Amino acid sequence: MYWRLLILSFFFIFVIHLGRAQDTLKEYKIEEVSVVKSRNTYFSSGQKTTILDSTILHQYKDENIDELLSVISPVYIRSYGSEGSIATTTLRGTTGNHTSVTWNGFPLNSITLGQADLSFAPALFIDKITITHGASGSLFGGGTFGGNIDLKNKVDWKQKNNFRLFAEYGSWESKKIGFNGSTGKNKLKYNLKAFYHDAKNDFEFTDHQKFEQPTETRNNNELTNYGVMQNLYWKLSGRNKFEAGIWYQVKEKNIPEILGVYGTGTATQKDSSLKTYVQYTSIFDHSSLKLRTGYFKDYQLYTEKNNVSDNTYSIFSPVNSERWISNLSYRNYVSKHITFDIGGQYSLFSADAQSYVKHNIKEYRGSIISALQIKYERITSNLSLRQQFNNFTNPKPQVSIGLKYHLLPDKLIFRSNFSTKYRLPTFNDKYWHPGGNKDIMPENGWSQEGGLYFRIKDQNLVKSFSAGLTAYSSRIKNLIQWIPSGKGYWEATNQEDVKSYGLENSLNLVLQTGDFLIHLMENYSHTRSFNISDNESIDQKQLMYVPYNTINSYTKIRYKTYQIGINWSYTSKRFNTNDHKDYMLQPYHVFNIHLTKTFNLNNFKPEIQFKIKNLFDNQYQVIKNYPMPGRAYYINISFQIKNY
Amino acid sequence: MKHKPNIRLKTILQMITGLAFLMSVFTACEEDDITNDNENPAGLDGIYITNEGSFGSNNSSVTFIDPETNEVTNKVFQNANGRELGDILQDISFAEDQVFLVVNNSKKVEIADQETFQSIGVINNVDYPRQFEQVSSTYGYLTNGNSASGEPGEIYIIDLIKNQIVDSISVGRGPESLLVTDDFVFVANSGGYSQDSTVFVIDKDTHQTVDTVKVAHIPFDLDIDSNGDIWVFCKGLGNWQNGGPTNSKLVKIDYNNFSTSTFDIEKTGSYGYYLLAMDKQKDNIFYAGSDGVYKMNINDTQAPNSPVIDKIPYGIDVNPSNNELFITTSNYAAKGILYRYDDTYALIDSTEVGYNPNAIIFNE
Repeated sequence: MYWRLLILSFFFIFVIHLGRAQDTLKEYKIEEVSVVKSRNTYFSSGQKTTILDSTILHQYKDENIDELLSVISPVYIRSYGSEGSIATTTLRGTTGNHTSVTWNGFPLNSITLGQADLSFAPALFIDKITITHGASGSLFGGGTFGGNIDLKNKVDWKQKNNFRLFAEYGSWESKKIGFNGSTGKNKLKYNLKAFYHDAKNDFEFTDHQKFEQPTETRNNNELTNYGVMQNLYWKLSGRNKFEAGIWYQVKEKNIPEILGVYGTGTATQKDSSLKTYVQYTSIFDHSSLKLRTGYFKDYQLYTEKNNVSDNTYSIFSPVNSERWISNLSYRNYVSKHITFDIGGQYSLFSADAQSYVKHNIKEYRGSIISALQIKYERITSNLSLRQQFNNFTNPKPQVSIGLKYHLLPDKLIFRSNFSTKYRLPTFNDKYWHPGGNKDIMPENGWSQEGGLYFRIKDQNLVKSFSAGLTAYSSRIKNLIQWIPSGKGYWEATNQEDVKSYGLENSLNLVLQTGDFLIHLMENYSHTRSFNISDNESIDQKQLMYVPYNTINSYTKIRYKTYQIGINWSYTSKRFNTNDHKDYMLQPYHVFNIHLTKTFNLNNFKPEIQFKIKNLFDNQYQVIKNYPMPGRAYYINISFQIKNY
Repeated sequence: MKHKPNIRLKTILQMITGLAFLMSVFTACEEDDITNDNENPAGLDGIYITNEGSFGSNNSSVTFIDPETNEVTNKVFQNANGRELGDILQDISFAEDQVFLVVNNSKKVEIADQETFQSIGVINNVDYPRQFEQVSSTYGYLTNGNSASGEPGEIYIIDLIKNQIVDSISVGRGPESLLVTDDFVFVANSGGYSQDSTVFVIDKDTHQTVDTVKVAHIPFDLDIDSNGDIWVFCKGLGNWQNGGPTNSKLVKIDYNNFSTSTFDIEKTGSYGYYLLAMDKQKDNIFYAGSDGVYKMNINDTQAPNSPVIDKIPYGIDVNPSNNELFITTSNYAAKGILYRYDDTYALIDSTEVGYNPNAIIFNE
């Protein structure tokens, strides 16, 4: 109650201040740039963020998001095998449930499972990725212990008509085709993206778990993935804007057996989703108003048969879920130094699964959010608060405090942030029958971080250089886990606490002289993440599947119209149990290489690319018992027409 | 005056070198590796624990206990073969110098040499194997099938010389435990993913089903007493099953006429399968009740009210040579524990075994 009063008083002070500010600061006009910044970005300046913009995404535009993130970002991807296999994220030693993935700010994490599968989304559909490490619960909402990954679409008003078509063929009958086109100018811009991919994924591997360790071909591993996205941007009268997006995606994936299992796998999973949103932005002299609403529908069907030849399924499990999210954000630029933001979010969730206690379960979630930024000379400080309401146990009020300080103006920046976090139980945690627990509490916790960021631009050879070093620690309390209940089934309960700390570093260097360009990128993470438990066998031990160290690097060398890119990633050993007694997954290195030749024929730009993935044919597993594919070859041809 | 930056490539290289050094320091301080270079003792006659492992993790294992020294050796199969056993070890059974390891989710029966545990072959044309039992010197029975769509399961007849499936017998849904007597083989039809409440009686020589005995919901485990009567542990329906939940029941089948007597017990607190045991004289039954291990005399007219051991077992058995009671417990986060009790139910000792130990097998 105390907290709610505090938030209300915060609003109250703000409103009073608002009245005053209007009179005294008529000459101060706000910039368009800061208005388009979302609340999350604008008030997160004390936190480490990794931005993958179009120049970087361009190199991987024909890959899937999971692959792109695993090679050029600090996000560690847990992949269950070849292309199209479920891929979840690990950021700062957490699980996929603890990283929120958003599309233009709207949450994509499954409301039934909690995690987001990144293998469904082609990079082609996304114009910018912002990774906010350890994002705050007050701004980003629930499930951000690891952080937030926002997949964003951006409009480029400078470009006129622009079309690109590509086709790719590669190992194990991988066939991709994609289109990206935008048209319109001045007031209206329309963008259409379409993508189709199918692959047999029948790579060879040695089954070390079987009698006489045979070399086998992966069976029941086929993938079909396709989708269409449309975006519309409309500049209305004055400084009002309208935008809308619609994204339909279908992924059908056969799921192979784990190592050591005889026979042909029969499991399949189909995921289809429809995502839509509209957004209206109104910009006034000292303030801006953003209204947005989105409707998201997800359908998943998992099936299994006893035998490939059977006509009937032994498991037939459809899961339907829908959500309607509405969001209002009002920001006031009180003075050059002070910005206020208040807003609210209301979401309606519903889901239906065969195994739920009842059908068509509905839940609402509401939030009041407020944020304050004070900027004075070299210092930017942020404060944000959130109170969430829902049908069940409300999470604690959330707070985030951040500081950004320019030690050397625009060169050396110190960042620091403290924030609380929460995660609501998923629908499965509450309604699964048996074992769902409707009395389960939300997870809660906090994180703090501090870091230095150094950057320079245009110094002789050095076109740009940046280096960052961040240290963090965090805590998750009441971790939700499924454990045997002693009643003959597993049950969702609030279990141990998790503590994490670590170090993150990134480097980015671009050198250019004449026709030569060299681009180096590197990310390194050191992570300690463990249970704090009365159970001695797991206490203080690194959580399963959290590597101590990960490094990835990207080197690009361009000479005129030729380009070579090399990726290297290293993942240290991981344990697959929390007590470390049994098994350890060996460290692995993966190298990828690509060669590109571009032809410049005025506005027409054909391009040909050769790619080799897993160059040294390393045998490795990211998740135990799921072999990863060996060396693979791809050829990619694309045609682009720019600005005609 | 405008501040003029003076940072050269050299400075950048120094920063990169510094960071590389930092990385190497952190990369070096990882925890030690796990080593798995244990050796098996010579001569593997003794007590075995069936460690199911965790579903989807391929971490089934076999624990061996030397009855003379009580020395415990874990991962007997892995030690002998340099690879893990598979996913969900359901049963270990010895027959004609061979050991049959029924690995349910790996869809196989791994056959190894009884003395060394070195694998000598595999039966892999099965889809849901549960229990193997030697029936004669030349063949054994294997229960198979989860009856997910309500279809009947089967018994595969396995030739012990060829180590191959030679024939099959259709039985009830989700066939589980087998009990071999002088004339018959009794099969508990647990229902699998579906439901059942029958025990099939099969003629050992003709492989024909001679009777279907109706017992109670979800029969899992079977044992035989000193009178030759068959005891059936029926788990009862779970609360996720149609018509559930129902209490567990003990059912006695008269060996002469297959008539039954039913004993009401509370719902078992265990989520194991092999929850019934007989003492050395086969006069007393032990079973996993709601809150511990219960003991009942075969001539009692009703089930006891309180347990002799207040621990909920995942598996239970009695050492036929000295009447020591063995129970295993399972823990989600860590390995299971084996507890050994004397015949006054005082704890002798306990030891950590593998994940989800579901049964104890005496092959002394």
